[in-house]
Amino acid sequence: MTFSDEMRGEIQGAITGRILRVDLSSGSITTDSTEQYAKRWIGGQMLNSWLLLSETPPGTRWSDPGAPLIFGAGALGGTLVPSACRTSVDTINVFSGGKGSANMGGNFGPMLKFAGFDHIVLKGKAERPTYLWVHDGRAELRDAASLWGMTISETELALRRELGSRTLAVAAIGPAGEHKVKGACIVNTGGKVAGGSGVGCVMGDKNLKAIVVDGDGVVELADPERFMAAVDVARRKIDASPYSKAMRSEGLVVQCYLAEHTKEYPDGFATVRNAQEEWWPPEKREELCGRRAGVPSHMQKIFGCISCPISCMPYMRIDSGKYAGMHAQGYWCNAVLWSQKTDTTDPKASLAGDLLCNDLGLDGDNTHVPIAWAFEAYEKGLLTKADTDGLALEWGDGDVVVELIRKIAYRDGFGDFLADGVVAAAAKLGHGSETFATSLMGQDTLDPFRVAPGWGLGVATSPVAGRHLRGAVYPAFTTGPHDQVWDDYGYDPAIPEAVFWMLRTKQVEDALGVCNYTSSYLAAYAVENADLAEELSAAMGVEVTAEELLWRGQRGYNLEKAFNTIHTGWERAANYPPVRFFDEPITQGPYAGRVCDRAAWDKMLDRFYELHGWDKATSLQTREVLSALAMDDVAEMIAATGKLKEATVARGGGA
Amino acid sequence: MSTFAEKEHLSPFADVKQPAYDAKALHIEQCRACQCCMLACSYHHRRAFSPAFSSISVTRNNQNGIVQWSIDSTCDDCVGEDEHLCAKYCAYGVLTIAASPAAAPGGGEAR
Repeated sequence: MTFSDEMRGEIQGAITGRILRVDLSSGSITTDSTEQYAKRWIGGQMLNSWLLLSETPPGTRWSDPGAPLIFGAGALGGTLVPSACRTSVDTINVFSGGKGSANMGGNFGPMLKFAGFDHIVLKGKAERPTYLWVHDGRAELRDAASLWGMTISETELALRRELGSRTLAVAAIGPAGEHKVKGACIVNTGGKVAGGSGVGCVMGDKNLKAIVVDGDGVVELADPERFMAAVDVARRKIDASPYSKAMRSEGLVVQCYLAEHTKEYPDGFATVRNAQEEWWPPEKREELCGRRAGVPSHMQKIFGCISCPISCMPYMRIDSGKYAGMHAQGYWCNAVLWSQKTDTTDPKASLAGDLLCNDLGLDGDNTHVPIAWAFEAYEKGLLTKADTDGLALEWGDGDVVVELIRKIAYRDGFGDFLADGVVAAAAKLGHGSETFATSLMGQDTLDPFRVAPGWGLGVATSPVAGRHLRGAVYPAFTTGPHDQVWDDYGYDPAIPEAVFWMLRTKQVEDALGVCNYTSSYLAAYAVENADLAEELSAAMGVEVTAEELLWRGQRGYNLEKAFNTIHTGWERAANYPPVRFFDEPITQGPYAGRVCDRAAWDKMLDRFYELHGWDKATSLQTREVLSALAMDDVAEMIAATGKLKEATVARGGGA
Repeated sequence: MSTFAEKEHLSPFADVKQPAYDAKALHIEQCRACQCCMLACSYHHRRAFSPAFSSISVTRNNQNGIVQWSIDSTCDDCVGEDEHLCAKYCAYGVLTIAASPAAAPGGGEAR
């Protein structure tokens, strides 16, 4: 079934209708209408993707003044839709030159709408440190000289004091963004992070320290009664989720990584010692994640983002030892993987490293990959203390990891060597260190590939380069389509379908600004596309179904793919895991001997491209599929670069 | 001896019904600062969402993790609703209210 380019109906609610456009070079501030784009691209990440694609001339680099940095609140942000709190930040990926995208929870997006805007498009570069103050339909650029050099928490506090508002939301960069560390992130609401793609690096390059949003605006509803009925249905599904109760009592994220909860967070999901292994002994897991003395024992309370009925973010405090006194929101499931990367079992060092990343404005994935790579180079004798400012990079030494995090954020000494990502560091070091630099399309990748192919496929094909939130599925029953089962550990033919469903659904969630923790992913795993369709229809006044939303999700994914085709040279070869995962088998644990199977990957990719309607030999998009998706204008943009295929052609075998 | 008239003279709000809302029902230590109550309250007042039209304010101090919750005089005890919306949309048991909202004047239709 096909649908039309624009959603049916008249937009009468959900969005504010205004986009803020800021030229940081000239200081000019203008507004634009959201409505002209929203009927095609809904909002949030998808609308951001369209703005980025249509306003970035080919050849633009992330560091050019013309590079756009776009913030977008989800279409349902600011409403009572469960967990409709997400904000998407989109720009050119500093690692790859392709699509850059990072997504954050917190209160920023909803407060942006109460401040009167759905999106902010920033271009140009400010001459001196600047921050943007957006409130009640107005915006002004203000001097940030006194904020420059501050950490995230210091910045937020200083801005609250300066602006005198209790409700404002701050999205800021830390020292890492100021120093243009490639793995720099943007943080809001005291620890909710837009990480990956180097979005904080781009913000720092633009001399923009922070964006502050606040206001007394109203998010209207097209059909209030119908809308609240839809919200109630979604809330009941979340309440009925078998995971909800435990999550609410103990914190969702902590539930995911408690040592004894291996079913929710299965084994075989680790990249130990820079991905030499994909299994971690249970006693190490107990030391890091034990309820009594591990990281969970430091939890003081739990915070939720605006409108979230499950809540995931623990507020942590370290009371003793070297890091006594550190306290903040933090410690994500990913932090366990970060620790495994360097074989760190010390819960205090692991927690301190995570809180420090948040406060200095570093994405954890992009920071721990180069650190683990350096540890391995040190193990192999390619790096010595003479290179590392005297630090001994020995597996399991979490204190050294914490020190390296600080050094990277400030580009201090050896930190500067690691601050441009693992690909750049390995190119500088050479001597075969490239083979254990785990990256995809130029960006460091944290993820495991050997044990769970559904996860690996989603990561390897991600249009935002080696990240797991564009389709990765694992394990079944807590990710992917609700009614589909597959073998998580084998090359099940159902896996490409599950990934194809997941990536379209993720685009929908990111456009609506709904957190995948209540819907398609881990955690509650409760709200379905049909619920989102009803909520969007009632709030906005359009009329969409679950089927149409999935179709629109496919359009969103194709926007990101198109950006990559136009701005990079990636084809099929870019979608295979890093070589280490093909060449070096796991040696320990239940999955010993496992290695990525190239023939199986060939088949998975064939099927994946087939589902997309892309050319199998090159992975490039076809006029046929873009036309069926009512994206003829995008097809023309690709055609101008000579990389548009007309129609899919039959192709046998592997790469 | 105090008469009704005198009482009214002392306070112009003397016969305005005070919310059933009871501070004793607030388990603030369970609050996650998700602001669902704040949003739901603005829905009651405006059939739309806005912090400005909510009787409830929830702020959190990211520096020390402390949440502050307050309700102001614009609370009308969810008159006309089937239940108190702040309590209905609190997933964490922070708000528990025993009494039902009063019917709206003129037939109990929601505003």
